[in-house]
Amino acid sequence: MSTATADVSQRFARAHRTRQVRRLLGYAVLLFFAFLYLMPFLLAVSASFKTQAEVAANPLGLIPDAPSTAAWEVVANSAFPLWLRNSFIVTIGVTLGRLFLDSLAGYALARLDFPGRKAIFAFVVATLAVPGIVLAVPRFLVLRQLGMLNSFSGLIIPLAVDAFGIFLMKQFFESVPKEMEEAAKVDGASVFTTWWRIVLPMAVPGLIALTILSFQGSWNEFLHPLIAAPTNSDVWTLPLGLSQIAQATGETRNTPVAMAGSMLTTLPVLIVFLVFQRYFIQGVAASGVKG
Amino acid sequence: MRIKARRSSAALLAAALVLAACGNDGDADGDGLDELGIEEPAGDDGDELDAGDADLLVLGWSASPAENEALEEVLDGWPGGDAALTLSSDFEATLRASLAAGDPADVFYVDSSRFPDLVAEDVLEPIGDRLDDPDDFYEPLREAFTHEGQLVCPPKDFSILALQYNVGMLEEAGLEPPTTWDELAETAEALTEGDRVGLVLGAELARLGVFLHGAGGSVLDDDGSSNITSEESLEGLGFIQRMFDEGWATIPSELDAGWSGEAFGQERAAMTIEGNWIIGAMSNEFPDVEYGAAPLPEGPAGNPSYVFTVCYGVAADSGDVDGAADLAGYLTSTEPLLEFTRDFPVIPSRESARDGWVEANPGTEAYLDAADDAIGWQFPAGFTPALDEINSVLQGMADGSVDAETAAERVDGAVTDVLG
Amino acid sequence: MSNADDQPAVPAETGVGTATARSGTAMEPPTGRRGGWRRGFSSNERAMGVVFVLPAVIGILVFLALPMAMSLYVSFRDWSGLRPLGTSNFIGLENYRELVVDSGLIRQDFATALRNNLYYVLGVVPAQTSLALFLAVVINNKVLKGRTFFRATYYFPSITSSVAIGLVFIFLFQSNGAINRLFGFFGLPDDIRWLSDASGVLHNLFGLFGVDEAPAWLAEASFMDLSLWQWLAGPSVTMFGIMMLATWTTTGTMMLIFLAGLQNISNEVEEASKVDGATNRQHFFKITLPMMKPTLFFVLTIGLIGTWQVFDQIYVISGGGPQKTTLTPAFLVYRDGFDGAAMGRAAAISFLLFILIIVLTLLQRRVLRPDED
Repeated sequence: MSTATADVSQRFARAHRTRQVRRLLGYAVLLFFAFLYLMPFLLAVSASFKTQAEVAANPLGLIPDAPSTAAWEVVANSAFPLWLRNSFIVTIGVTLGRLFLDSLAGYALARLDFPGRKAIFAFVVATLAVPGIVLAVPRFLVLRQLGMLNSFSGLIIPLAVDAFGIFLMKQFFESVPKEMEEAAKVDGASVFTTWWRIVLPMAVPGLIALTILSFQGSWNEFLHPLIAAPTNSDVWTLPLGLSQIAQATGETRNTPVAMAGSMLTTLPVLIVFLVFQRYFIQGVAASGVKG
Repeated sequence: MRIKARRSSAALLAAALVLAACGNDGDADGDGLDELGIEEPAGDDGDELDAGDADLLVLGWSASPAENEALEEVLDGWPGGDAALTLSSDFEATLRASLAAGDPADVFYVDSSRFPDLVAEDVLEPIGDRLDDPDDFYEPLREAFTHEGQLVCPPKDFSILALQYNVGMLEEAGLEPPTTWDELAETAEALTEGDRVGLVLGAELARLGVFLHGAGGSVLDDDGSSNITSEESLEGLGFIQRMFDEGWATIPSELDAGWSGEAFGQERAAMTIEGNWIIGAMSNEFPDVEYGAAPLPEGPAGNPSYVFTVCYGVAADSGDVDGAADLAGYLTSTEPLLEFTRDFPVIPSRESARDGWVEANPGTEAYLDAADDAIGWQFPAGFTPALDEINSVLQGMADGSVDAETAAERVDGAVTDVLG
Repeated sequence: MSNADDQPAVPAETGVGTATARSGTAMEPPTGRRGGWRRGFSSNERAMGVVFVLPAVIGILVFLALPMAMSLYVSFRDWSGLRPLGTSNFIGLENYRELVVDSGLIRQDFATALRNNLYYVLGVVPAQTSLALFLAVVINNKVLKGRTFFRATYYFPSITSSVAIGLVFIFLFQSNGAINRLFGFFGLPDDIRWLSDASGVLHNLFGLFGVDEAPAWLAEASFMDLSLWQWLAGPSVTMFGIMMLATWTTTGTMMLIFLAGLQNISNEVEEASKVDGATNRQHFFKITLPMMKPTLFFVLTIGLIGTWQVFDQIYVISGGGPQKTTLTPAFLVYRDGFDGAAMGRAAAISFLLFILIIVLTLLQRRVLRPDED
């Protein structure tokens, strides 16, 4: 064997070893953070099946000594089922509203030529910077004026208008090739038909990203329902209900119930995410980054 | 899927148009379910405060399902007409929403601590002169709801602070419930051992303030100016500081509890100072803990307690002030009061209801006996930021970072800033 | 974020679109102002453009622009929030004066809230951004298996309700809770009072070097009624815990955005640089990071805006305590407007917060602006 080939194979072996080490290191990092990110949820789920005494004595134990569904029964017998239903109504309403309004406006801003287009887009982008708390007080007054306090319309419509979604969809439409639209136009299709038949189907990844973002956002929205539905617990959504039954201070803590409620609040959005997560990455890749 | 999506989008477009229409003609009857084409579930009264078919609307907060039922029953007994009841678990926001809208409930709960803000805004219609036998209300309660010499609204009930002690722990140590500050300190010291602390106290003025008054001090004097730097107040603050610094007293969060009653119920503290609301919490959550209630230990200037009370306020903007006044009067007459307070531990506001209530709730004399000399939990309008600062200072005393002198200085500054 | 504001807006051609649409002449000659594919669309397009954006614009006007204007209006009035707005009086800049100019408790509270939030931002934004970038780079490594699982795992906290997370936090961070026990297991201090310790982290750090008391020059000099020593307290232990929580919950979203950016660039560039024989580290700092600059800018911007508005966690976990060390401007708005009776001041605080966020965002944009514009 010549020294040259020995050298090459040695280098190859070393490179191989480095790669192995690096891979192991990669897994170690991934597992460490997986532990960090999952553990709290596992502990919370486990706590929801414990008694208060066991939670206090052994918060770290993953398997309850004497599993009890008492906390879940308390949750099931509270207004939780109602709040769960309301959360679905509000979230689905908001998501549908955003899909429709945002893709409509996003398309117009990306593709259609009409007076004031640039100004409107600048306006939309500017509103992105408005902090929610600034709007809390006056939004309440506007909702009151419109007679929308304490109703589903007041919970849904203000959230269905959303500058971020418009921005996202505009970016997305700009990345979609225009040939098909041109063809449809030549065939004499109306703008609306072109948008509905040709453009939207091509925009499905973007729409899915928007769906997930708005599902997640409106499912977890706390400040808006706090302001918009102060007096009618019949239309409260889960986060609001959750905060009312489990105030942090001033009341006896019932950790199992708080955890059961928290996990119940988390479950639906988790399912949506797991089902759609592949599209979500695609959608973000296709739209968010170009901002 | 496609068809469904199309229908929903059409519904949403319709919703958007309805919204636009609302904006134009001020149509105030928006209900999201209708607009979205979803059938409204039965019994879902989604709109604003609305008395429905009833003549008057009563707005309150809900302490327990038992309270709802009791109040419903009492309201049914009102001979003057029909009254609807809304009990909100976020009462404060509810009340504000309706007041800001100029469309409040006819009769609503008014907490003694909120009373000055509401009176300053002329929200309440004074109805003191329409009440039967107003002198029958305990004096501190009457005082709390009096403005410019006139009783504005009839108190409905009250809660009051007392000393709660764990019977088993005291017996084991061969001790009696403390009756003076010195005994309180000694008892707390004796009962502090290992994980257990002698006394658990909420780090807020609404609890610790009794030590100011027990020394003859106060946050504000009778003229409403700062009195916290007076010798008496400083003595009270000094006692608080000593209890915390020695480790004989601690705050609930140190014991992983949300409030003192929880730590007391878990037997992590031998004593606490809480109100009669602890009765319900103990029997519901810690039924096996044997405990007693005693008057607050006496300081150099006695043992005045804080009384927290609520009245039925009549809205000045009510469409039927006379009816509302009549309803408030009925609700605060002796029989309805007794019926209302039968199943849960708030104390009726009339002395004439006293015996009936004690009979139904034995072992509560410590609370009732404190009523005559108690101090109403109340501060001038706009005091919220100062109270926040005071509580912050008291938290500092509890964790040893603020001493009594500094505390007095800071509270003095805050009070002067806010009240000008 | 956009280039719309760099170019002059197209002059408004009010009425043109609707007028022609009404007349029904779809074949108006192209204006010739623009070339390309747009030429084919006609006045119909103008009309439809307006129709398409109208619902969204109306919505934004009603629920964003109008409330903003009202907020500004309320901030000049002495409105308590307990009576209809019409009953309040115009008081000019009084609310703002109390917050920024007049010495006193109101200004001190505002300064405390700003200080707390400033430390929160300074801690959370770099932490979440760097951790997210790190995780994205690791997960983007195609050699590793199970990346979908890990990606989902890291994203999980981001999709959870802040209220639910807050409750889980309270459970985990009790003095006798899971975190302290875990700390004890690893030989770290196990008696941290996460929910009630108001001492500043920086103060504690100074304490390690023997500086327990404020040096006179720091104790005496003050800005907005807080002594410099208080400004230098750092986040309290409780706030520090909330900052850890915030980092934990937001990293997932940021990681996904980075991941998307990495996937966009990796295919084109990776091969080229591998051929050049660059080491991984060189590769990251010389090639990847510069190309990620737009994404980084985006992530930092949304991070900055989000952290200056922290409210939910405070509301659920600490209510501003202990000793006001978790008071933030957003929570102050809630306290004064919805708990106290000073809606006018609450509006003024929210407006100051808005201005602060705008200024900081523009400043950051100037410093970090992506090169390509």
